[in-house]
Amino acid sequence: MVETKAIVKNKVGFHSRPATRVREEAMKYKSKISLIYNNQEVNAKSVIEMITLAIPPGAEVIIRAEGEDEKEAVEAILKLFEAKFYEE
Amino acid sequence: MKNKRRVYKGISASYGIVFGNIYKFSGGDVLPTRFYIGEKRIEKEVKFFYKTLEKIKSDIKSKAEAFPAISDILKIQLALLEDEVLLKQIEDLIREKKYNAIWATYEVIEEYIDKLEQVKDFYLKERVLDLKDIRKIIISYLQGGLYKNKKSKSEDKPIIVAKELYPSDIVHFLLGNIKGFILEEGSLTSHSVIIAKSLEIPGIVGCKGIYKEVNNEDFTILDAINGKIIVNPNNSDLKKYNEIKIVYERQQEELKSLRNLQPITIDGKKLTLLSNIELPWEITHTSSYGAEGVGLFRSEYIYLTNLRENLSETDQYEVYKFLIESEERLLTIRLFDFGGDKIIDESSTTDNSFLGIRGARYLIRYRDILRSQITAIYKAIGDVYKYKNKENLTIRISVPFVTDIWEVEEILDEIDKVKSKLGEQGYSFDDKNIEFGIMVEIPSTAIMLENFLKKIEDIRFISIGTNDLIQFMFAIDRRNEDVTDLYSLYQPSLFKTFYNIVEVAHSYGVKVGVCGEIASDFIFAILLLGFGVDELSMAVGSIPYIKKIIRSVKYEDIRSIVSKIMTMDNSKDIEEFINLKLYKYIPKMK
Repeated sequence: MVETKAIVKNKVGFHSRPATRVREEAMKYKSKISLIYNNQEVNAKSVIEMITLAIPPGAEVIIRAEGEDEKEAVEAILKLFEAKFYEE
Repeated sequence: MKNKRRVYKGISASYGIVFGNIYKFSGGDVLPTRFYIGEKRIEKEVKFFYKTLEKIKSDIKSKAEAFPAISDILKIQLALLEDEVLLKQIEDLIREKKYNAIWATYEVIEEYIDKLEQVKDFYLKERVLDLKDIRKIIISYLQGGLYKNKKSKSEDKPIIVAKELYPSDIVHFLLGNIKGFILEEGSLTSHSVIIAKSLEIPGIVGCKGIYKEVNNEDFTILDAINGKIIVNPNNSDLKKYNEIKIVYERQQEELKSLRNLQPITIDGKKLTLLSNIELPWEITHTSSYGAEGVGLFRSEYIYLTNLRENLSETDQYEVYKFLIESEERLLTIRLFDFGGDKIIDESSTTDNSFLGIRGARYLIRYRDILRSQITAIYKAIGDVYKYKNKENLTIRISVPFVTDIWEVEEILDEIDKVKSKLGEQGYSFDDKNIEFGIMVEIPSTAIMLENFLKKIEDIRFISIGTNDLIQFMFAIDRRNEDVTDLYSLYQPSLFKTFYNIVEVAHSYGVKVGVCGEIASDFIFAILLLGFGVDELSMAVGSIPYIKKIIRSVKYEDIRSIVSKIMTMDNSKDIEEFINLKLYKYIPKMK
């Protein structure tokens, strides 16, 4: 299992579009990938789960992956967070 | 009783006459019924659920191709339709509780909605709309939706009856799928109506009580010329309307035949007719009406119609890119005109928002927004010109609600900064293809126009915004019905202002356009021509009519009428004179 911390850096928080982008990326990997915020863990391949976490701007989340390509998966998702989901 | 003849009255919002069967469309949120399915039905129900999802997905995909400007929203919906967690939960509920697919969908998504509604962050809370939207889409399709009609011939498209329609309703169900619409609510200026108009879908609004009283499949005559609806018409209705329809369609054909003719007066004076658009995809319809380009894209509608996201530079970029790709002649992008009756931030409203932080004032105060808009526009221009030959396209950027010269200078300064920053990133721009201009809609700017043009050489065109200019010149609050009827528009002060603006602008070689409502008024269009205005910009539907009128007048005659008006000082006399001289030009329509 691999995990890392990430910060939501775009202005309006983790809404539908970032969730869609994260899912798009997550689907490329075989590992089970999840986001953890406020002690709640949700499937990063599910947009509806991620948006109902309602992660506000500036919040810290944990990206966790488990499986054969866990390392690459976590890196790829972290990159999206770093790039502000290509929103700004 | 099912087949009872009923007659309704409403307001024609988008002209036309069509016959068709009613389909009751539940705009807004859905409220489905719950029932239990038998053991044997379970497999079938699950299969039906997944099959329906496939259908929705393929519809959305083709829509995304046809309307790239909204593809981002559709992408989110596709992701939700493929959401493994969501789908599994719905499937489980069908299997375990033996719920029908409709109810299972409703209940599962309702739980997520409940959860989101607890959230305090206003913006994230708004995501509830995305969930309600997708739930409605799934349930409507499960209910048989409109997709049945998609395969059938165009003749079988239904007439929609709904309480109210939202832009998302139009995008998902109605685009290309309906023949006409009847709404209980709705106003002539609501967005759904504006879209329908631009797509030439006839419709009537303000028809209270109809939703409850009619049934699906009721055959109906929709007369969106006279605002009349006849449900289950009798034979004499049909006979009468068959004749009316033929006459109407002949008139329409005639107008369309004008499409490729120039708006030139009998004695050879050319006027340019342009379209006003609010939604990006309206641009694809403008040339079929004979518009010679876009005279006004109200860019603030990118925000106002998009409930979902706080649009980023990238989102705006996509819109501008789409517009630039779609237009070959002239595209006028007016910078955001927030404020007035177009409010994005409730906290900023004051008693008279028409006199508050609007247009240029807003752009200068919120510099980030101005910068991101200009950056998005210039990036889009730079990118499109890289791979497309757009030699004949002129792109105009216009600044709304200008009061003082320094405002224009500040905005130009910002444009220069953005351009040089983009230059560092390898972008290059051909200034010959890009024109800068301002809206003349505040009396101070109209009075000082010469100083503006003398001081700022970059101003290459001006647009007169008549709605605001009139409201400020006569001190009439547009929203106050007590005063709006008090004065006729035939005010000598207004004519004097038009006259001066045109004189000054032309002496500096600057083109003058008019893009307020009066540009599409039959009488005013003729008068504006007489004042020497170069361009009229209006809703596309009006263009053929105005073109027809322009082709029937003599510029010389109109010039002398205008000269005479300039010597008159009483609005009542002017009105009488104009009626006497110009009424004969008004075509008998409607």
